[in-house]
Amino acid sequence: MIESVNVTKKFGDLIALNDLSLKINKNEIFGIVGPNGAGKTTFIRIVCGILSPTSGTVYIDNIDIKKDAVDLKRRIGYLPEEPNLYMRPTAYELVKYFADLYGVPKDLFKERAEELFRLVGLYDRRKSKVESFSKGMRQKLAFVRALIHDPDILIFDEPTMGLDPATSKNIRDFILEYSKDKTVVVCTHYMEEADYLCDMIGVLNNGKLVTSGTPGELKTLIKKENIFEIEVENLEKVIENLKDIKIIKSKGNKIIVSCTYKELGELLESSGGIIGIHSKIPTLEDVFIELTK
Amino acid sequence: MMKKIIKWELKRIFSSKKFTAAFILQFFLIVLIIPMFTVYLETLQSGKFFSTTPGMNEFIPIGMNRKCKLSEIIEEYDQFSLTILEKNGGMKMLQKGNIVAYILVDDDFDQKMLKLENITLLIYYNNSDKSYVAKSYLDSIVNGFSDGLRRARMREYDIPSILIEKKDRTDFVAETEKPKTVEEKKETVPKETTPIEKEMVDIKRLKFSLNREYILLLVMLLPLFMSGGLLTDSIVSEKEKKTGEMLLVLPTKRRNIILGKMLAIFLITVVQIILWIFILYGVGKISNIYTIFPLILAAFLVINLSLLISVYSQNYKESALLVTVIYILVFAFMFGTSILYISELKTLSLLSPLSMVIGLEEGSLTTLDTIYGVLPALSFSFISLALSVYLFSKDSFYFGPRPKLLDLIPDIFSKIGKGNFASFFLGCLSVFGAIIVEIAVGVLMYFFLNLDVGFVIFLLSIVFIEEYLKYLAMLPNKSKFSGVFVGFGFGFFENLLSGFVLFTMFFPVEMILFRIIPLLIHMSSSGILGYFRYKKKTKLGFIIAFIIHLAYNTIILVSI
Repeated sequence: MIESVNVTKKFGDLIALNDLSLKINKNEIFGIVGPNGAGKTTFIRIVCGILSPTSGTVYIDNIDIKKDAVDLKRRIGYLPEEPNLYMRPTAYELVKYFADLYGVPKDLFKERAEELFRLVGLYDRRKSKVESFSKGMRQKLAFVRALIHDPDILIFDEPTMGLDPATSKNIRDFILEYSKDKTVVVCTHYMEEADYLCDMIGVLNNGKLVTSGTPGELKTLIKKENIFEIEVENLEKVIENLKDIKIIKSKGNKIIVSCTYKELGELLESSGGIIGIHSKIPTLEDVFIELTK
Repeated sequence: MMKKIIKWELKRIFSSKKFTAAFILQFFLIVLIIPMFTVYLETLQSGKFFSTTPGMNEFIPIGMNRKCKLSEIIEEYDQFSLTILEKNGGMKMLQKGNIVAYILVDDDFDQKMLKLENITLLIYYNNSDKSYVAKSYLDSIVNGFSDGLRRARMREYDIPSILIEKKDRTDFVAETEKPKTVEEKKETVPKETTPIEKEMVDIKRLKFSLNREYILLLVMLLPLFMSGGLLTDSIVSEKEKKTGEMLLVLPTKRRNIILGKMLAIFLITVVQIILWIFILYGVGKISNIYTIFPLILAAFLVINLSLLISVYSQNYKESALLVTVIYILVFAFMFGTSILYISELKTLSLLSPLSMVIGLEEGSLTTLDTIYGVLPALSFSFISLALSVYLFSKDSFYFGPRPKLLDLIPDIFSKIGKGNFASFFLGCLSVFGAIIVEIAVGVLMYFFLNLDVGFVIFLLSIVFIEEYLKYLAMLPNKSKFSGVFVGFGFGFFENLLSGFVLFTMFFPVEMILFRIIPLLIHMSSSGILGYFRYKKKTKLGFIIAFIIHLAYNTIILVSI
């Protein structure tokens, strides 16, 4: 279990995390979502022991990460936002270096390296230099590097960022397959990815935890008020008559709002020129936009 | 973990094309520098280019009738080419101009010298242009030699006396020929001769301008410049390319990462220095293989400064600029200061480890010189290293907006901690205790023991009292650095009380250095004791601290 207790992190005058407290249970996939600059990466860097909190503490299985960082780091497999790989060595040499640093025995390394290289589909390219790899291949190699010491806590920062849809799906499936019986923290701003992968999601904004829950629970946060997509002739007139109704999104002559049926009736009556109305099931994206406004 | 990082860094460096290219370039440059410098010196000496002194034109051929202590000294001078010739042959060669001077000494020259008896020395010149140059140098050598002996004699017998009577003759013939008019010009050694130290300075200045130290120092520049580049590449590029983030997540303390990188580069530099020194020694360009050690010390200092720059810099551009500026300053300081070694400011020159290179080559480096040479360089190196480790531990230097250096001061003070400040003040206070106890012990020794035995016991007591009082001062602080701060306080306050300020008015430079070294000794001895106390090996720490302190005091007393 990972527990963050009142963690604050400052870089000079900038407050990256502000009194953040959250719990991540053992063997669950926890997604951290939030807009750019919300503090997602800072938080996972603190969990990995890369950064030290200015105040507050992170516990892993009730052990303070400040006090026993070296041992706890052995249990963590970290995939940063960029693969950050050395370019000159071959894929195999690179993974071996990190295996050495983590103290993986030689015979076990061979076995694990083969298994992981096969799993990510890089087995045939393991003797190639990293500099010859495509972005997707580098990301897969970064997975092998992060997992070579068989960590029980996996931390992935934007694991599919910048990858094509097929590779992204490939990687997501790999995370799902590999993360059984492991605690996983996935930091992403792809809502469908969080929805697809995560058991629990925490929404961060301005360094604070806005809310957390299962994807279903989060969706119900705005479901209570119903979501409607309205296609109108004059969008400006509709916006003028919105009163307390929340806009989730507006584009062209379409507007997505969250409101009760009564409020919808009043809006339609006052606005006129309605082309169409659809009741919409909220997605995590809607939740994200709503919560991080 | 650090070993693995070092191994990986070495592997990375050796597999790098950049390194291979730089190493090959450096190899050829060094190989070229040696003959180029030799040619340059030869041109300078031949006067074809320009001449700074007449003696630098070329070798001056002289003869002497036998080998003796004086001939050994003359042979040390590169200006002379000395040949041992029997008197008749010597005179013939002098007539023909094969040699420009011929020195005639008694057969029992060495015995007379050892007995401090008067010696007569006859030097014949052939009135050629070169003979005037030879005369100038031989006058200087004989005067210096005579002066040294006279001092020895004066010490021995407490009487002023002329020891070597030198007779210069320009009229000479081989024994088979009839002598021409003989007019003997008797020269006595002037009573107010130049001090022997002054003579040595002049001699060294000449030797330095001609000799191999510069080649040696130039050669070491290249590996050091290369080390800076490698370290920058290793640290700053990891910041820029963000590969360093993956090192920070490793199960090791953050300091081990930069220490591993620094040690890998240091190892390469050391190997290069050893390699070059062995080559230069092999081809006879240097005479003392131990010059390796001051060069390694200089390398350690330069690498640690480069480390500090690399940790501080946010990108390549910034580090390249800083490395260039700092290297120019450091090398200007190192070379500039080392040149003072051949002047009267020898002690000051030892601020530069390169002075020890010159000292070793000249064979004039004393134990005290070594202490003066090693401690400042080592202290600056460790201060740079400590600052680098400190800056590297700050998240902002890697990920965030870099804080202003002034903003770090309160943080550094808070890191030092109240306990260590308290240790500093207790160290200051313990000086009073030391003065009182040492005076009491001194008085007791004076009255109850004879002078020699009392002095030795007093010497031992001083060291014991000071180390023990410093130990008591560090007791309230459990930190492993408590000893360093107590030693700092003790040395600092001792300097104040011993009239540091007053002395510096009269002997500004030398006295400052003279007081800095004891301060460093106090910090080192107490630092070791404090560290061993932290490791629960107080007795061993006390013994080591005692030995260091005693060794220093003894060297100082012997030197005085």
